[in-house]
Amino acid sequence: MDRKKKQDQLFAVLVGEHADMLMAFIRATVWDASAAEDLFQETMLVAWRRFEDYDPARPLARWLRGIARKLILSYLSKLKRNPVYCSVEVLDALEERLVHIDRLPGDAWTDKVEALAFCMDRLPEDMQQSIRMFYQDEKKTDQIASALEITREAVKKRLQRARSRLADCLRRKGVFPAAVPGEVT
Amino acid sequence: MNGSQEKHNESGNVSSADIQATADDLLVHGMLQGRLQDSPQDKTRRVKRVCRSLKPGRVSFWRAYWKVELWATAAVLGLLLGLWQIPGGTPAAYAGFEEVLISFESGDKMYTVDILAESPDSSGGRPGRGGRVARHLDGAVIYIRGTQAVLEYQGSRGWGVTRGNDGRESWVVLHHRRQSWISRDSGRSISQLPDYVHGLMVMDWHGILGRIKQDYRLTGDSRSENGHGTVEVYTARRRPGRPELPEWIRIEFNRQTRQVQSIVCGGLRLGKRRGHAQSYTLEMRLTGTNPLPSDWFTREAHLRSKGG
Repeated sequence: MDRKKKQDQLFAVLVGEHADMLMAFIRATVWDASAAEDLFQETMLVAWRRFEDYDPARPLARWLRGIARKLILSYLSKLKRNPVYCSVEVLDALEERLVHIDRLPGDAWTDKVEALAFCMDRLPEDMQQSIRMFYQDEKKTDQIASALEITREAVKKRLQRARSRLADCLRRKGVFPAAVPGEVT
Repeated sequence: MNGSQEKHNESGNVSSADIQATADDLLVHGMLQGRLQDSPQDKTRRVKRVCRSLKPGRVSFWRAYWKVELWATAAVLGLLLGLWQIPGGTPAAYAGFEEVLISFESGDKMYTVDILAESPDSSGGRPGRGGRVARHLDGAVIYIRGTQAVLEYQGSRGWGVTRGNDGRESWVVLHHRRQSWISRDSGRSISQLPDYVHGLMVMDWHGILGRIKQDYRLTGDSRSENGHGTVEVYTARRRPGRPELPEWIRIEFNRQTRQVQSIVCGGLRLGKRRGHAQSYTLEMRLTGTNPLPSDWFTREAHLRSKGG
């Protein structure tokens, strides 16, 4: 088998190993589902083209996220309303969390973030319900509001609080890095 | 969708604590989507698509030029070598194409559907729009018998959807819900599904080909295939004013087997707002000609076959 073919096979394995992590990163910053899928494909194809430039001594996950980050910033800059939430500082803070997760024990991303299921089970029932309706059933906030007979703002607030609780729980379980003293998270 | 965007003070600056909280919020948002929205099939399909894109000959976002280059080279070679040319140019292409349409009327055929994203530069549209639809149709299988058709594809979360037209009515079967819908107007208005326009477009390919004479400029060419006779290549370019139709259609017809080997529709806008949608290329490749069961194009057959 020639070197190029071996390299292609190796890359295909690496795509599989890092796909979940990379999608989580892209979805965190790009909320359009189709755009997120396209950016994932684009990131992997850029990585494949530049794979010979990759230094195996460095973590591959960080290299992939570096490519994705450039593509995400390019995509966001084309939007009419560049989101405040996606500043370079926020992307750096995201990277810090993902580097921490990279170092956790476990072969796959799903192993490393397994605690998410534990944390979800410990959410209050109303929050679990909203989270499942929004993420699993892919209902819009106004649909959830109508189903639960609360206002749309209350749904958004409930989802935000649920995510905040999940983040706190993930921090306690060691999935997210510990907060720096003085920081309010 | 997410409260993080409000986390900035009146001067527009974001505090360090808010940055950390926003990063937490965003990452949990991304993790929840992966955990609650992606089925194992979604994940496999995502990786497979990357791997398929890596194969030589596949066109990707920024490598569309490769295909253009190939076709330009093939066209120049064809002219130089004088392999074959439809006499009289375009009018002869229309005449030859009649035979292609007639050949569709006989026998059962199975085609597989591939969706390829075109370069954002060439489409002029925003990336991403229509991507969900494209994902669903990629890898779909379409069965054809005359004007009847059955399309099988995977909808949201990998759930199986079968869409059909038996010449009298068109129908949709959602296998996971064991539900079906019928429309009596021959496949024009099943609107229960968000992507009906696009699924229908694939279903109604026969109609689109039939409209080539009035809505497209048709040219013909040919090439010889080793041991498989001569393949006639018809290229149709859309006339102005019909944005809902593909910009171009290329049909490969094998005169020896009298089969349409492939139909490629380019410049296809798959989003609901087509004016802003990224364009896609849809390829249908012939993968089977075995006779299908006589009732294959009826809704009942597909409700039965999936236990619905």
